[in-house]
Amino acid sequence: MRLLTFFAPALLAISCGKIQVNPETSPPPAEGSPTPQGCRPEVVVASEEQTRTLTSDGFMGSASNRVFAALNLQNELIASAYVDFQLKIVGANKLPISNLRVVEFVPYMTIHGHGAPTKKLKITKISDSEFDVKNVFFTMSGPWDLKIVLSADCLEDEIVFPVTVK
Amino acid sequence: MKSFLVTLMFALFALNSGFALACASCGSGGDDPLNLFCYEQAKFYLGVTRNTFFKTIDPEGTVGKDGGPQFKDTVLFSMGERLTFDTFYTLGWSVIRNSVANRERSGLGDPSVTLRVAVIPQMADKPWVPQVSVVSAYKQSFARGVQESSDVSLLDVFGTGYSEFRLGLDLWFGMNEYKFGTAQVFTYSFANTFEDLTLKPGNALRSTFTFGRMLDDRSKIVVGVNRTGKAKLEQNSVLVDKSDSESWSQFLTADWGIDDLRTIRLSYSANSYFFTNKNASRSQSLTLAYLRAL
Repeated sequence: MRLLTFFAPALLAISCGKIQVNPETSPPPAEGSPTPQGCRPEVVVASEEQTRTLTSDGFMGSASNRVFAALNLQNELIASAYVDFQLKIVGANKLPISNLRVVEFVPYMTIHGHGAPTKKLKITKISDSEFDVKNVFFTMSGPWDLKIVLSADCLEDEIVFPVTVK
Repeated sequence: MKSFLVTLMFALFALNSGFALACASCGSGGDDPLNLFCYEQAKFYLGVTRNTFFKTIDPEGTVGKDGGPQFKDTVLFSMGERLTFDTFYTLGWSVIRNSVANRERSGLGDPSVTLRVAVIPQMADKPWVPQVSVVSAYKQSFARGVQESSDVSLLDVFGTGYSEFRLGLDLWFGMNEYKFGTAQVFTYSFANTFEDLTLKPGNALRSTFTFGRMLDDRSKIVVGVNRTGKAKLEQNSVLVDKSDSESWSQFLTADWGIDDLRTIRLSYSANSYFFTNKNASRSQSLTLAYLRAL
């Protein structure tokens, strides 16, 4: 009976998908990091204030403030030309996030209400936290938002990165 | 019968005096390219416009790099018909060709219908009483707007992406050798949904001031300036910060009357060059048009 009392919460948690089956391969997450594998992804929709949290080292906070991204620009962003840059995405503890994927990357000119063609856009993961973003095209100069939708274990999040295109 | 006699009277007057040409209101400048003189029952307009030297101006008024097509050529066909002595309507539709150095695309623009009612008609015996017209227009969103463009040079953009309703007043002192006019036109844009976003441009007010002079019985020259102020864009019912816009244009239009029925028009416009311009597109345009009364 005592065994049943001991195992019941654990079995219940496993069946609900709240914890990992093998705890050895998944150490407890640091505070502020996405929760471990096996849980139901939490979809976070960004609000205007939430997507404008810029840290002193140039990282932009996500809708949940659990993921941060920085752009590594080789040159300034210019209109009517293909531009490339690197994107670094980390957790709140500035460590890589496991199984991180960029699901969507949308250049959007919010003040005009339009985007830009993304037919040739190519995103390649080059490390746990870095992505090569190639062939981004801004159709005109002015303020743009780069909307980055990403997913990781137990997390779907969104970062809106404001950039100025010359 | 009465309206027919009044029309006939104006027609006879027009044949003898160039000043009667002022009867067609020009207070709105080039916004409505086709205006009917009081004695004209119907008229058509065929105009070719080349728009070029595009540059984008950001919310702070900084002029940026070229964006979009190098040339936007528009062929506008418009026809107007008088309904009553005071009222006429016009229909307009355009074919647009966008081009860059080595590529081009063509398509139909957005069709529009305009109704003009002269609430105070021009009177030859009271030249300092202006003609006052109420102008209302509807433009149907038909062509692809920039929101749905898949071309890096925006060559597939032939419309605004939104239907619009315009309502305004046009005032024209046109019975003297020197003419003056102004128009105040309010524009309401209807919301449109693109994928998961519903966008609605802000309401706009376009103010136009024109000054003109008759050159001879059938020809005149008009210069003018207009200012368009537009409120903020709404995205899913939320106002977008810094999306309001202001732009100023200057124009020069010369009408040369070949005879009583036919007119050649040459018009030049400089857009967003002077005064305060923000969230605007800088360009220059040249229009050559042929107008024929029926």
